Amino acid sequence: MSRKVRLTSADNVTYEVDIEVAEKSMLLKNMMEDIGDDVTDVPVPNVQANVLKKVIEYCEHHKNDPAYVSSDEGIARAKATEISQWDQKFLQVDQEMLFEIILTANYLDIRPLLEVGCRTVANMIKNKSPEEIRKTFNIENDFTPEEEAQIRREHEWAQDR
Amino acid sequence: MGISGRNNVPRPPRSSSLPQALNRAPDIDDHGDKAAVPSSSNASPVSTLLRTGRLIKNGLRVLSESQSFNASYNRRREVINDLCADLDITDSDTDDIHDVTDIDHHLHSTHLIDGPLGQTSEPVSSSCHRALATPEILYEIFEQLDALNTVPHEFSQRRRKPMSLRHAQLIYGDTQKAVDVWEHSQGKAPCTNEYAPAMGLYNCLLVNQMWYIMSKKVLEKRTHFRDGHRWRQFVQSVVKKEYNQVRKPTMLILHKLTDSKQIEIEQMGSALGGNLEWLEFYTCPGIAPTVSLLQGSRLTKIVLPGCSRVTDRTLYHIADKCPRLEYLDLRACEQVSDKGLKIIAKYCPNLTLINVGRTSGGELVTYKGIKHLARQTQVNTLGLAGCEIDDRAIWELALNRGVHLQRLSLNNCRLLTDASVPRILSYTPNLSVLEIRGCTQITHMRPLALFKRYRERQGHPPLIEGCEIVERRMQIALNRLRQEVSRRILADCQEWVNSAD
Repeated sequence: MSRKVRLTSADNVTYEVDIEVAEKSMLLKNMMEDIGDDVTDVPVPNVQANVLKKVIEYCEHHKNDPAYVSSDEGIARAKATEISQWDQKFLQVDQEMLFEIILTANYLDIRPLLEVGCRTVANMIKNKSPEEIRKTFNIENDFTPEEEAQIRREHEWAQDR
Repeated sequence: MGISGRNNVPRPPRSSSLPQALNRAPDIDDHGDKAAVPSSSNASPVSTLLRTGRLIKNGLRVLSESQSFNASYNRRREVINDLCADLDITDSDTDDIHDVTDIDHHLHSTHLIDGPLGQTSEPVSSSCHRALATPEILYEIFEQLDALNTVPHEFSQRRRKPMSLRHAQLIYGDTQKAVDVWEHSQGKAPCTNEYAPAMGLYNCLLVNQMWYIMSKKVLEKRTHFRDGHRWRQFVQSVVKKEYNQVRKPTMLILHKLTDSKQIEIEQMGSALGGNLEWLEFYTCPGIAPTVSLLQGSRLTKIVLPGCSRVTDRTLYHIADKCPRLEYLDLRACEQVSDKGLKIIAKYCPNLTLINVGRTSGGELVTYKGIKHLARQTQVNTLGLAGCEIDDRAIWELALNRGVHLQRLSLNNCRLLTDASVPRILSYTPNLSVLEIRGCTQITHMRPLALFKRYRERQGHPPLIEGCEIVERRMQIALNRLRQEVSRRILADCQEWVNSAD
């Protein structure tokens, strides 16, 4: 029987999870270690319930994964670009939710989730023109045509990237 | 303070053409220890905040959040430092930003935001998600995007091609497999990713100003070229000073740029050197690294196969500038001699891999050079193909590096005899690859066969590769060993049967 902790979201919804699940978040892990053994209630004040629920779902699924090691430079790194089927399905959500998950992963310091989330966004960016990217994410173009031309001129060499 | 909700932030006032913030090249590096940022404008921190308030607002919020929890604080702090460096805020300015209310106050006083940080008056449906306006998130996204780009690399094979069909049969035993491998090896050499589609990091430069800053950072972190035309474009824009660099790369790879010239490397030295961790010129016969490229003391990996300009002088520079070097590939750098290896051994104590394999100039690398590497470095993988090393060199390695030795390539080291290779194996229990093609003086194969069987039984079958002659000797030795074992088992059985009577 493993220890349980209760995570309370910004909008006061409480989820009870195994401590290993909560410890997938380095932020919560460090916090609980600082506070001591007897902690049972952990507020997560910056995260809404619907997002927290998703993030907990991810941590539950990955609770037995080996501890995170940052991937190395170069080829080893390129190999790590695949997304597992479960993760792909898990991240099949609307953009709003995807970005909320990313922000929460960043805030709670869950590196693997942050990476897989950003990889999903990267996959949405790839093979798109700047205009298509702006359209996809609702981004406003704040360049003047001159600035744009200058950037193009300066970075001709980087067109293969 | 919540991070929920959208931010409704007015755009900062527009300055002339590309804002100065974008055009500055602060001297920053990955580790956050940055030199003082040159301040080209007299703007006070507050007015800098004002000018670029929208860009840094999210960064500051992240900072304040992480401060409140103190988790992964340093990583975030680095991102903020980087960002502030871009925006020409000096260190002392960011140090002032300890109390989030300070910033809040600054931003408030300049009417950049309507409410307290992180809280919004009302969501604006026409703006993008705030995650995409958060520098560290953008940076992570671009890192992931760039990871999809293929870094040019050599096609690696587990085993070398067989030298003939008969050789293949000796290696693989099974005739059909041997025929397959042989026929396959006669086909065209596998392509080394000559064509690699762009993933769109370049397009991210053009999305908006913040995307430009963050994608440029990622773009410049890893510099690699496989196309001479692009490389010359890059050199030209740097030489003509048309190009604004924001950071120095940690990786520089020039892949098969056969017509690149030394003058280009000299011109680029100051732009590309100083922060490199990995330097690779793969089959670029016209160029060799310069001192300014090697500077910075961060280099751990230097790969220069087929760069015929590389000499002992280059190795002196490497020894002088790269104390952390671990990986040194000098295949087919046929001017490199014992002198260069000696100096590398002396000044690069962390070296674990060295490859000086060659097809000519073998007389330049002998026992004298290897002795120093064996005694002074952490070397566990050595490529000595075609070198005129003798049995003493192998003994130096066995006695000094023994249990650490993992891979030895001794192809065409014709001076080696039964006095070394067959006799060192008890000193090198972890050897996993031993290449002895063309070492025809090695005839005493029994220790090799025993070693192979022993390691197989431990679950780590070693790869021992010889040429046709050596391979046949190996087969004979293995067969004899098998017969002996069978005979012994038979003898044991007989003894047991007889004693049971």
